Amino acid sequence: MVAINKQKIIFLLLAVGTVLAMGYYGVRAFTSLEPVTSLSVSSDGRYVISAHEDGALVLWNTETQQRDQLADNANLYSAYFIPEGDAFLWQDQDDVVHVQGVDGEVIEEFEHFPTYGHAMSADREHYLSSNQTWNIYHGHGDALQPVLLDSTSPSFTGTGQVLNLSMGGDFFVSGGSGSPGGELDDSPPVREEDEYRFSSSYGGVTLWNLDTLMPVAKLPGNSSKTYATISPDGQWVVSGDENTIGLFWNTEAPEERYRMASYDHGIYRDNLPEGLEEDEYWDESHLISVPESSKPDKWGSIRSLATPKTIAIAFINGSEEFLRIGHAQYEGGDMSRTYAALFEAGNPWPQAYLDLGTDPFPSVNNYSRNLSIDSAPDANLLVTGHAFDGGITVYRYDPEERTLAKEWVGR
Amino acid sequence: MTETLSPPRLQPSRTSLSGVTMPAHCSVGVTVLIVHRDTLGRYLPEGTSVSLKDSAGKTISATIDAEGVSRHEGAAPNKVAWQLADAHGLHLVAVDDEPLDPCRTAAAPPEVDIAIDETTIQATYLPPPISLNLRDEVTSSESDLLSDEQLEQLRLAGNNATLFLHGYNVPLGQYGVFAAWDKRTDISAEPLLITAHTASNATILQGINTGEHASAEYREEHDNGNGAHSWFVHMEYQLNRAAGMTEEDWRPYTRMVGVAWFGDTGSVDFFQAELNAMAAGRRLVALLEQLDEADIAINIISHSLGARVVLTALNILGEQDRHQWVDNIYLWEPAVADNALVNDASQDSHPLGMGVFPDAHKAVRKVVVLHSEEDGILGPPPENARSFWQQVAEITSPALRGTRWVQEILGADDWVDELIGSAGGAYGKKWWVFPAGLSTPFIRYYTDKAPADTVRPPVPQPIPVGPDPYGKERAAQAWQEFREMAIEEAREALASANPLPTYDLLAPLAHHAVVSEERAVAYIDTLQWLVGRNWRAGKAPRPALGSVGFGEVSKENRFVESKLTSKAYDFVDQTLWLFDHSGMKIPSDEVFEKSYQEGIVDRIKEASRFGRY
Repeated sequence: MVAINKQKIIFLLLAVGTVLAMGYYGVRAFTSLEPVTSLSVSSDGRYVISAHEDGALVLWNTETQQRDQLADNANLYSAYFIPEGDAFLWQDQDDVVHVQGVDGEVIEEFEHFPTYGHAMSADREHYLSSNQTWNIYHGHGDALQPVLLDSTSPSFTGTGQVLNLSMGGDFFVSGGSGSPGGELDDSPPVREEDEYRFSSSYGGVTLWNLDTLMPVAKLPGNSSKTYATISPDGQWVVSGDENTIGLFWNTEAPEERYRMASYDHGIYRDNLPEGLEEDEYWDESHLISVPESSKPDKWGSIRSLATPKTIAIAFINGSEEFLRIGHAQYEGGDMSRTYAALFEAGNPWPQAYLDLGTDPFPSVNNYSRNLSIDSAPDANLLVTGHAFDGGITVYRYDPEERTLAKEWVGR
Repeated sequence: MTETLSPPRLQPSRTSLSGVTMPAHCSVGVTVLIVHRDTLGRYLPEGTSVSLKDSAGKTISATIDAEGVSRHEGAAPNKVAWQLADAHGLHLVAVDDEPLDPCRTAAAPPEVDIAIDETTIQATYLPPPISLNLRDEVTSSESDLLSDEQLEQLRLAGNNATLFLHGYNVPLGQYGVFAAWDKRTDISAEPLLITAHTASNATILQGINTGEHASAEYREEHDNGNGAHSWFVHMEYQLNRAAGMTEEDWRPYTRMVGVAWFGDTGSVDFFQAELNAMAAGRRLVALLEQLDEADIAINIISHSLGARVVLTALNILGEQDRHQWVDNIYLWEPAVADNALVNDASQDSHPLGMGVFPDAHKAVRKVVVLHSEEDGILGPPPENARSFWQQVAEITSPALRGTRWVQEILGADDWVDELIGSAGGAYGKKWWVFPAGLSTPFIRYYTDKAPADTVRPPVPQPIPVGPDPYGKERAAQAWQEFREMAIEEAREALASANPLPTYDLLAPLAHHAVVSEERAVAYIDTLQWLVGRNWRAGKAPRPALGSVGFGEVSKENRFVESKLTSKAYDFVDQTLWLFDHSGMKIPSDEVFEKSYQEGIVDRIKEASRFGRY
């Protein structure tokens, strides 16, 4: 009898355990989100809008720390908060773009081509959008006007990332591919289809005038997948790329290019003659130490935990400071390179290295999710998606202490 | 693609070469004049035999004259078709300025209408493929060079040459054969003429990425050949496609220069393949000299261990102060150390100095590395590459690990390559992570070359007796002898006045133009030191450049960082789309667009030229 009772108890426990586990996983499967493919923060930092791999569109309230799924058919790269307000943009998979308030009010809707990156000015006068082949358009409907249409390369499929567009002051900036694609001087940005170049003349970082929609300057020097952004006040353009090159320009004199310091070697002096000792080309006067792993990696070397291989750049303190965020894979044994470099606008030297953490691992491991990182510069907030789940992490930057703290992990 | 189900009928020009236009009516015995040119505008070689068949089934042969014309008299009216004899690789791509699919014209030569006394037909062919065989013994000073005709071909085709070097374990192989008309789904009737001989040898790619497959059954080896030739056919086609050629018009098709070398040393002898790569690299210098002298721009693409061939040649040019001879090199999944391109030989972690090519960077304007951490051969994948559960399962179940290994081997395109990589674990283990990785190939290499008791130290006798019971003195003597042999080899090579002498004992140093006596002594000293340490190398190995790219080395090496900053070194990280060491041979759409189009050809077009595109 005793034996039977024991078996029964074990059986019961197992059954209850199984039911509970199934219930738990069932609920989780039902409510959990797929990874974020694009997200955007409201200027006051109160809201985040995100699009996910399965098409979910989610509105996050960072104050009440709640989320609300608004749609399940969002274009993966279309979540975008219009600056200085409570309205955001998104596009559904029938290609209709919605301008919608956080209270649910639909302000405007229009049909458009499938966008791979879009942006709208605070006054909603300017709507910029890019397609799969990285052509750029202004406006929509009858007012649709090509801004850049000279080639079908580089492209989303070619480079594996979304073209990032940012507005600041009277300008906007297109990021891109710093590969030497067809850099032809004085090539018109809009061409007839039979005169397309094999690769765009504006495939690299380009500064555009928001009113004339004409290029102000090409900002060359990057290589491969390049992320570029403009400070909210329109004074600085900063870029970083897959091949570790970081550059910046003052929009008042865009012909002058500045290099960000290499994290390990300092500033490369472009203009010295050839044939000097390697060290003479490098100025390391203001280098700070880079955080390092405590143990050697699989190749036997101590590795730095900040990588200049850039996936995104985000202004974090008005137009004064920005974070250059590295592309990194999750690696065990505290080997992941999750430290972002803090820079002052106009200053080539890294000021600090701030850790984004590994739990949850931020969405810095995949270039095709480069739009899953955004900031609210005036609210000192940085928001990233997660590498392996559908959540977001909200970080708050303290400009006095120059620290970055995780404020909320939303799932 | 054309929608007709029989060979296209083409309207002839009724204007004779003399400019007289004839009325169109029937007559007996038409004279057919075919003007044969290649796509570069050259007449086909005088004396080439052309065999024409008329609608009555009669074959009328003629040879091409100095003006590229073959004259066939007495053809029955209606229509004719023709083929060239002994004209390797000259595939018909247009008739009377109408573009034709060369694979289709080979299966069913176009049937051209002819009329009255005389009909003139304009025929346009691809120029022949250009390849160089660095495998066989050198028989003359010319044997590693291109012919004058080949140089002229490169000059006319944009005055540039794109060289391709295959990887490890690729035999020479041969070209495939064009699918016959009855194997194609788009030809239902037997054509007037069925091609034979050289006209049926396919030196261009058939049936992949050409829209709807025209062949009823796709037979890769039959259609596209094998070994190095298969690589040439695939790479050449994909480069042209990336440069903008469409299936509708093959006339812009540009021939690259395929270079074959002796990398098929058997599936376990990677070291011998490395030595062969360096030997081939020395021979490649002659071709680069020839192209430079002819003022033809040079771009080089290599796969895997082909990088060692290229870097050897460039290192030699760099040592000889021949700067920036090559416009761009594209190292695709290079099987060399990630610091192979630093300028300081002291940073070599290969104990015998085979890892670094310190002067190679001088000879080239730009180096682009296409690497992938998902390569599978060159290094371990990133940790999150496989799903979490897959990894858990593999950790908990060794059987599953084994299964994955077997699946990877059997599923790979090049299973031999995969086997070596996987069995050795990866590139790292082919090398010298374990002492055996170093000792086995060196002992094998020197077994018949070095004196006894050197690389194989003397075995001590069980009971120490007599003088020198442990063989120490014998060994010391043998090493001294070995050292003198090496010095002698270095001395003889120097005395030979040959700028690129051939080395035997010193072959592992063949990436240097000339080995000085000092270097020879240092090499033997290191070898002796290694044997004394039971082949335990002092430094940890470097990861492969084809796996990690420049990411690691740029942090510790300012030279590489400078080169990256000035974009003289550049890389394309293909981790997200290239999952296979040889995945570029038959590329997915993604590999094609990201690696070929935007990774290579756009860059060649920008900084140099590919053909006439």
